Amino acid sequence: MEKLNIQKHIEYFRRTRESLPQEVHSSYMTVLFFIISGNDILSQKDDLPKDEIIDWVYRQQVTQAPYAGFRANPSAEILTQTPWDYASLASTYSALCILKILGDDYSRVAKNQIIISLSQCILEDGSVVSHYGGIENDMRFVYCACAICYLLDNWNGIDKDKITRFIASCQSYEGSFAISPGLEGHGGATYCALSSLYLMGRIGLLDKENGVIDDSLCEFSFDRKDKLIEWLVMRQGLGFSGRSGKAPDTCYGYWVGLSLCMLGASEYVNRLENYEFYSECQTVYGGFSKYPGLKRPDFTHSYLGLCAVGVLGIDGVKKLFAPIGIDENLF
Amino acid sequence: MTSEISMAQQSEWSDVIPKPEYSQKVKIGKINYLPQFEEMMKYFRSVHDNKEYSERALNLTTNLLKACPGFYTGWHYRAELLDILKKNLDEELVFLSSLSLRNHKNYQIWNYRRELIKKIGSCEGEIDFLNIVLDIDCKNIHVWGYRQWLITTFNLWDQEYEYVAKLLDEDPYNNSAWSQRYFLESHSQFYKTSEFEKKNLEFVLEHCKNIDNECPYNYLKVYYCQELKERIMQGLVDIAKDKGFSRFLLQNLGFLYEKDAKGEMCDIVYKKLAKIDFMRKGYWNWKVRRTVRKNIQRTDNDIWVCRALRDNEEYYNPIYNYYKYSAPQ
Repeated sequence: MEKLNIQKHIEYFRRTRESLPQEVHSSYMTVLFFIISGNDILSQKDDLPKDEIIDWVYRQQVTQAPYAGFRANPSAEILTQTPWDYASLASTYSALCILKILGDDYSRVAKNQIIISLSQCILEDGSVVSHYGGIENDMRFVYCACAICYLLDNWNGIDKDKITRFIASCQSYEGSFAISPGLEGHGGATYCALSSLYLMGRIGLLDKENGVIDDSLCEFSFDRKDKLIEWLVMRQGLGFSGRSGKAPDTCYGYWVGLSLCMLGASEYVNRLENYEFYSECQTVYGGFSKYPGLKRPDFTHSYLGLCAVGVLGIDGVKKLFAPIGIDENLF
Repeated sequence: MTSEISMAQQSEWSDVIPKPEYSQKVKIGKINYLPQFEEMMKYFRSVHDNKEYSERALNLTTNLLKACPGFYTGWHYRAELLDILKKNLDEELVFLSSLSLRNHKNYQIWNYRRELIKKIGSCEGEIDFLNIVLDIDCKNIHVWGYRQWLITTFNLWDQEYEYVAKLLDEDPYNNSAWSQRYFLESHSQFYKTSEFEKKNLEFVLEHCKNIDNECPYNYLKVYYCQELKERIMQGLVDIAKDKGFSRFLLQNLGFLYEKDAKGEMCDIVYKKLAKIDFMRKGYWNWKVRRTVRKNIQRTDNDIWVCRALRDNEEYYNPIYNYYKYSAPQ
């Protein structure tokens, strides 16, 4: 297990602190989360300017419902409660993760206002929009909403039955999940669906045959857990792919690997082959590229790849709490 | 505005005081903005905060969104501007299309398009445009999501069958096309009717003759029911007699045997899979361990499968060719 050069990845993640390209402007909070979490799982968070980062994160907070939450990045000057500069569920989830990693106790988080705002993002069919008044609704934001409720330990804003029904409607004929009903099953969407069920305490619905769930939840019909596990296991071709008939890609070790963890089936990953794949995707600068043989790393794949390597159980990389995606020792 | 000339030097903007970002930057993860983008953002903050709805503000969003198509505050402002300025939405669609071709994997663009088409109330030319974008990447999930919305909203079901047939003809490994086929099938008025299912099953079995293609083999699971399982079993055995076994074919045999509680047959199939599907050896061995072996009445097909798997090594086909990785030593 010496082909993966953890020292190189430490260097890479320390460098990510320094500069980022313009494209990350609208997803800055999430990118910051990946930088901080990447440093954390490599045990490099001690010299981060913690207080400064925490203060910056709190300055992105909008505290009045229905707009409450954290913004990705301040676009406009206005600091007050306006619909102009949106807080979004994705950046609220990312901000809460950053705060947790850095040891903040959420004492300044406008918890109730965020929960009220989040409840306004849930549509009639149980799907969730990206932010109050937003037009994008799919499984990604179902996940963000569940993760926020879990982190704030407050489920008052969510109708779990409604959300569960939506997740069930996204299950594909392959056993996997799609981001919206009718679409192709996909590793990332499957991770979001399973994490949401897990965080709601309902992942047992997938195993109804074994009588894990009580009668009050009988109305929800999911396909058999076995079929889903088999679909996930079938994604491996050295590394993991996200859909049937596609090539392996470093980021799906995260989505598929963590999904298998949540289903108690991570032992079926062929660790040696997967390890081989990540060794091929590691670049000389540290970090990972999307596919083997590309010479340059990209930031998202480096972070998700590193976490995926952690799933394999490798010295020097902390394991994640699968449904939230940060160091498991934080819980 | 041309991007070469600084906005500060343009008379059009002389009455606006550009606003820098208010907060001190966090000391890690600094974004390296291009100078033009940073300047545009300063003017954006200004007009945005003043709630200015003007032609120049619209032009500013055009330039900003070209530089950063994921800028969702910009998209929202733009939608309001179009409304208030009563702009021609067909022209907006032209702008959007040119941007979409360069950034076709962006969520905002496709959701914005959906809202725009709702307002225009016509889908003229949309399918043609989507065909062009799917030509660039036929598995683009954003485009498929928008396409399904379009089909449902404007009742475009009939012509879609033809398109999916064409895609599968060009590339039967395209799982997005298979998935779209299921979308059509499950919305048909004949869904779950006997004749319809039988006909579709034959189409899928025909594709299963390509034993390396996972897609039709996954699709077969749509038809597992009491009435069709005999036909599926016969179909698989016929293909195996002609082409040999692949892991996908064996996986489906295992699935059928499990449903029929034919533990002895499962045992044989999963043991073979553990032997030939190196990648998932641990998984198939677990399936073997879980199998309850009980003797059952074997059909002729079962007897043939047993013999073929036990006696004839030539009946299975190495399965790593599709991913272009050779089997490990």
